[in-house]
Amino acid sequence: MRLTTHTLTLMGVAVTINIVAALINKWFRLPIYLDCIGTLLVAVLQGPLAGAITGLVTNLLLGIMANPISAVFAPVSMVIGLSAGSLAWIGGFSRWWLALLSGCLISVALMIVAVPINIYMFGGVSGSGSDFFLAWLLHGGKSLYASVSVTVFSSNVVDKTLTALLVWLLIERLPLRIEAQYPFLRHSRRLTP
Amino acid sequence: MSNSFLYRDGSSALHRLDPGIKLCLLAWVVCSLFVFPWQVLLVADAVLLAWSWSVQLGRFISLRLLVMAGPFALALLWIHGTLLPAADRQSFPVLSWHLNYSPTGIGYALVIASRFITLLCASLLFVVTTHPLALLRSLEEMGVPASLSYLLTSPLLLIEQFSRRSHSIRDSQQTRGMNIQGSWLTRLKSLPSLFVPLVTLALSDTGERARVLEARGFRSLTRQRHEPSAEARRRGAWRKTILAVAVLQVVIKLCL
Repeated sequence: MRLTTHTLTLMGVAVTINIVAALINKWFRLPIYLDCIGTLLVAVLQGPLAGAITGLVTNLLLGIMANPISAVFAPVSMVIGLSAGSLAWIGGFSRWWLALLSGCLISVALMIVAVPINIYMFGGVSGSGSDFFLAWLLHGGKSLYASVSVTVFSSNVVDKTLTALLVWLLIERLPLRIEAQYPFLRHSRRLTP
Repeated sequence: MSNSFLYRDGSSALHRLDPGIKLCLLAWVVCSLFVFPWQVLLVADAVLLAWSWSVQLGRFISLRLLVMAGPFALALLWIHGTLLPAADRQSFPVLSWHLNYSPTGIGYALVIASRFITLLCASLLFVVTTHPLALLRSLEEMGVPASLSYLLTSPLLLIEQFSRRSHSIRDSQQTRGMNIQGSWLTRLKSLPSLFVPLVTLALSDTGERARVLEARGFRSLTRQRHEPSAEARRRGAWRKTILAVAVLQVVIKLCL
């Protein structure tokens, strides 16, 4: 993939959407993050590499703006962009139910990267309410790795499936003059001739 | 825009220090987390906190540390100290009840908690004393490509515009009946009515923005080559020295 000026500007806008989505989420008071909507959008419009770079830049900027710990999880955001772009390439965002399935698969992919980082850097603990769920799983005899995996997956799956569904809806409603600018979109949507 | 940042104005030595050198110092702290024992890390945290109080940043940093690291440290002690299976489990009488804990688990929790607190303390000091735009200028001096600089800078300049735009879309959609106060299902159903116009508008702007950049010869510009000033050379030497020390201490740790 060539990083054209158009792709660069799109990635800049998508990073901004990721950051502003946190503000929008506060208005709706939903128990989800919505912080990777721009990453998924770029992945569907421009492919996995652009999606991965968008995720990486989002977390690095959040790291220097709001929460330094975000930077530690930059590889997780990269994997979200990579997996979303790869799924879009095989048509994972062409139907609403495929978008839901893609959301679940993205959660599995991010879990594979997030769990080792979480355990090695933070002992598997997040300091949030999900630690009670982690404690309950550990008390039930599960290993630390299995418990953290279940906790990470369950706290992300709803967010990522809803985000994937929202991205599917966004690309379905794209005006014709915009969709023509993104050839990669043909994998997710039959382009209008 | 400054409202979106953790940056606080000031004239301390850390405020005046070159952002590139501060970034290298942060990298050195990250390497040190895996080199020094937890007692040394906690002493370093105490020194950093005391310094932050001396330059009127202490209240802000201490509150952030308390909110972010407090629940984390407690959860670590609870999970690793009392829940995870361990061979050295001991019983400690608390009133009429016995607390089962593992000294190994508590030790591990202290190691992880001290690393977390040090990482948080150092990175908070970095972001609180470094304006993001100053950091990006410093990255450019260090030779970061123009495209990467644009990618890192443009969101910082767009955030305010996008926040204003989302506020106005929210207000107009609310007058058309969008409900953000109802049940969670109602609020969830209202999400697209805010995101669809916001993203569509943003994508429309993208083409225009790219054309303007192309017209200005954004991609055709070659980096200006000029002899760096003595000050810039000195900063570069400091950055390399700090990174060399960081790498060296990790190598020594691995060899021992």
